[in-house]
Amino acid sequence: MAAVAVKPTEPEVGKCVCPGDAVLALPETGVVRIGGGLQQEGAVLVASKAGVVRQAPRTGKLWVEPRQKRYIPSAEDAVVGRIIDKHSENYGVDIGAPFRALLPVLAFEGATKRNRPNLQVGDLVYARVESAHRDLEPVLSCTDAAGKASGFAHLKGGTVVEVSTTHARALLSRPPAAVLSALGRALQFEMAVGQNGRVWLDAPSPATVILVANAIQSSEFLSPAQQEHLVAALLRGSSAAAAAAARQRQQQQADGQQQEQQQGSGGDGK
Amino acid sequence: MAGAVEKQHEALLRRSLEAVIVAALHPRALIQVVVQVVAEDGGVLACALNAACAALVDAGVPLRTLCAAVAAAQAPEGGGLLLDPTAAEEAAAAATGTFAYLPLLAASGGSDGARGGGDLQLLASVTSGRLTTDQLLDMVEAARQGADRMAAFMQLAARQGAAQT
Repeated sequence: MAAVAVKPTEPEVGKCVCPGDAVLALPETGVVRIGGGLQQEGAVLVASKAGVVRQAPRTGKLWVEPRQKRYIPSAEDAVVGRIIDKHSENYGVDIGAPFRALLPVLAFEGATKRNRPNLQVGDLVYARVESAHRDLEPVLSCTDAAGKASGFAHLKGGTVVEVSTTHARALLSRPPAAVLSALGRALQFEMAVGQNGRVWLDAPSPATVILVANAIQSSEFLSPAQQEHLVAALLRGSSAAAAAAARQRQQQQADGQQQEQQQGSGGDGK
Repeated sequence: MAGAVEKQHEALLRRSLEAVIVAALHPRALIQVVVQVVAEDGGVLACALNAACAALVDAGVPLRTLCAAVAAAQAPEGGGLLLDPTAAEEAAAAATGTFAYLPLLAASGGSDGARGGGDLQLLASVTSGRLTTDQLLDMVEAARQGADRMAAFMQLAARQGAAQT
């Protein structure tokens, strides 16, 4: 009645486990890559968190995906952080982790000692976790591995909402989550999802921002069909949707006129 | 709150949880567990330990395994052994005890034992009162069976909680 007897020789991907469950009996030889949520106890891989066993498609890395709100930094995550400290060499950034992260002043595309980025305490940034060793403070970077900006930058304006880290990962998945496709069809807004459970939103009107924020936060435990219903219900009769629809009609009229002109002149379209 | 009994409970909780949490994964972090008794009718310490364990699982703190705790009481005058006693039964008992068990996987091969291979190991126990040796051993064995079921329930709950995707 108690713990599981079977020690599987093949990892059961997609199985829900709790701490202490055997996930895989380690083979005598060979390489097994493991990520978070798994511990080696002798010859068995044991789950240390409650979650779903996942396997990364390319590397075959096994890990347990828990539903947690607290963010534990790991390398190559994209996060939304708020600057809380400014030093000569680094910015101190709050990313919702147990430790404050460091963002070097020069870790921006095209930054030199003469040409520093103009960030103040309280600004938001979308950055990549460059290193997250458990004994050191995590280090961020606003460039990708090749040194290009690639979407990492100072986020101007907008607002931040908090979700669980699992939901943030769902929002970042390809194909896009149902709630995001439904919102994108009806409204115009900008969004940056951090794997630390923070989502930055910006839109031309506050009503749109609030609607999108509500939709994202409420859609965590819903199935795709339910998410579509949620978005439809929120959009019905909301001023944001009406304004967006009106803007779309204007845009279509402007495009139609532009196309007629272009066909007349034969120039290239945009 | 600071009373001698609460301090003792706190010490047991702390030692039991320290044995279960994989603290090496968070070297410079503080994991703080706060237990608030809202209502109680006996078996508070066992309940607190089970609740703390469930909270740690929910928070995503890495654990080696779940911890199942059971309270027991020996009724006076040959009345028999009670598991999960009420407050009245605890007050009237000749002796009470709280036992914490860890459901661990069987260490090496030949795992398909009679109970299905899982192994319950005694992590901590607190007893008070007067018991004969036989009574104590009976209490430990009865608590073990109770913990067996408790652990199965906690594992089921943790897995179902994780499945809510």
